[in-house]
Amino acid sequence: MGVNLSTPNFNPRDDQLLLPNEILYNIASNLSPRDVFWAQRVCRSWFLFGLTDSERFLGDAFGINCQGSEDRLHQLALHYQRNEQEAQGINAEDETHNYPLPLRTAAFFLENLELTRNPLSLKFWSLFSDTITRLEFTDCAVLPRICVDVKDNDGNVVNVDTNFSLGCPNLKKLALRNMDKSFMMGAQFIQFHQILHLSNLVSLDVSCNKNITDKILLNLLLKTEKLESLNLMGCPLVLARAVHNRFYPQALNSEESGPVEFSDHIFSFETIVKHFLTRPKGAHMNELILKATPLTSYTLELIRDPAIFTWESLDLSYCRELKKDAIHSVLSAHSQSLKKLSLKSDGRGLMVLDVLKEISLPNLESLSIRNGKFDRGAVSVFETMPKLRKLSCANPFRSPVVVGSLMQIQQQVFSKLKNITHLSLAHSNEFVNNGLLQVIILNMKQIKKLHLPGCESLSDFGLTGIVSQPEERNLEEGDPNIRLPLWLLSPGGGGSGPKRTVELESEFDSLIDEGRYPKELGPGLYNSRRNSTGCLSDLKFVAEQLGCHL
Amino acid sequence: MPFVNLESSDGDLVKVDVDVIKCSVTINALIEHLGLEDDNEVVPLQNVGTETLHKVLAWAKHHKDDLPSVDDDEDDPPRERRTDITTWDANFIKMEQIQLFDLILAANYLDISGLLDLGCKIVADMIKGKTADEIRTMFNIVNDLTPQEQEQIRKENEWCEEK
Repeated sequence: MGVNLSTPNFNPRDDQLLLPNEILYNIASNLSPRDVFWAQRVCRSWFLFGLTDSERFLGDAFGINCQGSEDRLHQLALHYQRNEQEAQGINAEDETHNYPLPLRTAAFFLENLELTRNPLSLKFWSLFSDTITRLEFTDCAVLPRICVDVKDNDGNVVNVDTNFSLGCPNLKKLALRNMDKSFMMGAQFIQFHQILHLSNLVSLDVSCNKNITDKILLNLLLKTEKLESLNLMGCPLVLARAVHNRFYPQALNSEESGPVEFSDHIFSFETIVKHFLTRPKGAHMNELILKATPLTSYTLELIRDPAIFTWESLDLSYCRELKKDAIHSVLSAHSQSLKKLSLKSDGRGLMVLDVLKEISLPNLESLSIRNGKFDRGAVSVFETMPKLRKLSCANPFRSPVVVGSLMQIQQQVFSKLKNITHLSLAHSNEFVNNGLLQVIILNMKQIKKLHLPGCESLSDFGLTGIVSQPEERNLEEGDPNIRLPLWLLSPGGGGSGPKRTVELESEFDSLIDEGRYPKELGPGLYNSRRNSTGCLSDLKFVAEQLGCHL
Repeated sequence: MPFVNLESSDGDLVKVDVDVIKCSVTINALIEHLGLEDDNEVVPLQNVGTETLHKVLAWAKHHKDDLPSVDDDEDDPPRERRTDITTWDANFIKMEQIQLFDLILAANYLDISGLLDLGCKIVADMIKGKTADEIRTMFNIVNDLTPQEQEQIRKENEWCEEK
């Protein structure tokens, strides 16, 4: 951000008021989320401040982050409430006034929270629970308990001590990450029959819970008729037991629709997927994240049936037991609906692209491949994905193939992907070099976000290509001033580390000024030519792409 | 009583009681490190104009007997420091916008947390309850956000605008 302390004044050049980040933060910390929301729309530097300082700025503003003690949660919520009341002209001293939280703060991200039962925390939940729309618990030992008024069977209002979920009827997104301690204590402790009341839940994330069982999951899913997204990353027991139960089936009666009587029998994964992930009334599951689960080919078969499921998003990475055939059959059954796919190759680096070669995924928009191997066949893979916009090829398989020919293939692949907007090639230091970056910049004219951490072969010269010639890249709205708004590089990447845009620009301009260097070739080529240490075939290939002769 | 000479960016010399300016972490550090034995020693402040410097000193003089701020307890929520503005401060801070921002930047440069907080609080009060357009008009800021960025802001906040 352009801050110049030597002119602590309105910048005379364009009358812009420029303040350093720490001052902006100080100002923002005195504002309510609503005001921050508007302030962010004022101008670019304020907006960018919100982006770069997103954790403390946006995080604080649009959800309440809380670590440590539940009391603090109450303080924070009251603070926001007071701000909002002041803004609305309500007497802030009247703490008994049950005023709902401002809408934008109705999200709470609770981390490693020690939940207590003291009056303050109870007050928090009783005051605010019904306005909360999003709750994320991470590393919390226990879930909060609250007191709410409910009607008993005789119609009398009684105050019951219950699980938080009963008081949060508007909850839409719930995350229970790494909550193993709770799940170990079993269903009685969590009181899942009360979580069932979350009938508006759209997204459930129970990732990283080693001890969550199929029964607990079933309990969680029982009444969530609007559920669309389920994240089971790193939940091995759910699926392992389901397989076990294949041989001891004690499934529920599929026609049963009322409340389920809980007994000790264990439900199979099949029951879960068939009767609780699919909904008769339109809303149905379309996203399933099974990353790092011991999913076997058999269990995958359960979610395959296209008559029951229409998967739009599947994450099957790090499922080591999966065989190629199983993936193939699931993908081919859902090839029309899949929009987002994430896979990881096996140790030999063969599987993923082999599978993809045989299937066409015409609607795929986002693809993530880990440890993929780029051989000659890879060129044709992406041709069957005309809608592909986001591609991630992290940590590609290191092959013993001669670097030169491998480079050619990779460059052929990337020169064909013209519509990509988001590209990630993390930890690909063997083949992401300045030449490839040139191919990317020259061919992927729509690109908006480039993610290249750990690509150590890149140098500043290669990066110069990113900031040069904006008009050629035809970014949206034809704004000549916008460059790639976000691109990330790890501090170690790029030799001496990425330089600031301004420095890069001047460096590039000086090259042009010297007249030694044709502008259209881009700096990566210049670098290869000048040092003559670059791979020859690499250089020739780039030259060919550019239609010139060396 | 030791004194220190401060030179403003306009070249004016101001003799200041070290006791008064001790609230400035920057100058305190300078004095401690350089050990200004000579009374004629001059500390140049390239970023602070004479007018602003006098304002800062007026504030520092009034607050020189304040208890040193206790280091913020890590457990305290950062947003809870809502100390009220005293009448003296409220009168002191009544000034033109340009002067106010100069004062804030000077307080930041000299690292005077009390004055910085006061200034920021006043600016925050000016922003409160206003729309982006109103803020722009008030501070004479040009809207240089591209349509893409505006769209991005809208998208990021979509989920909380549902109702």
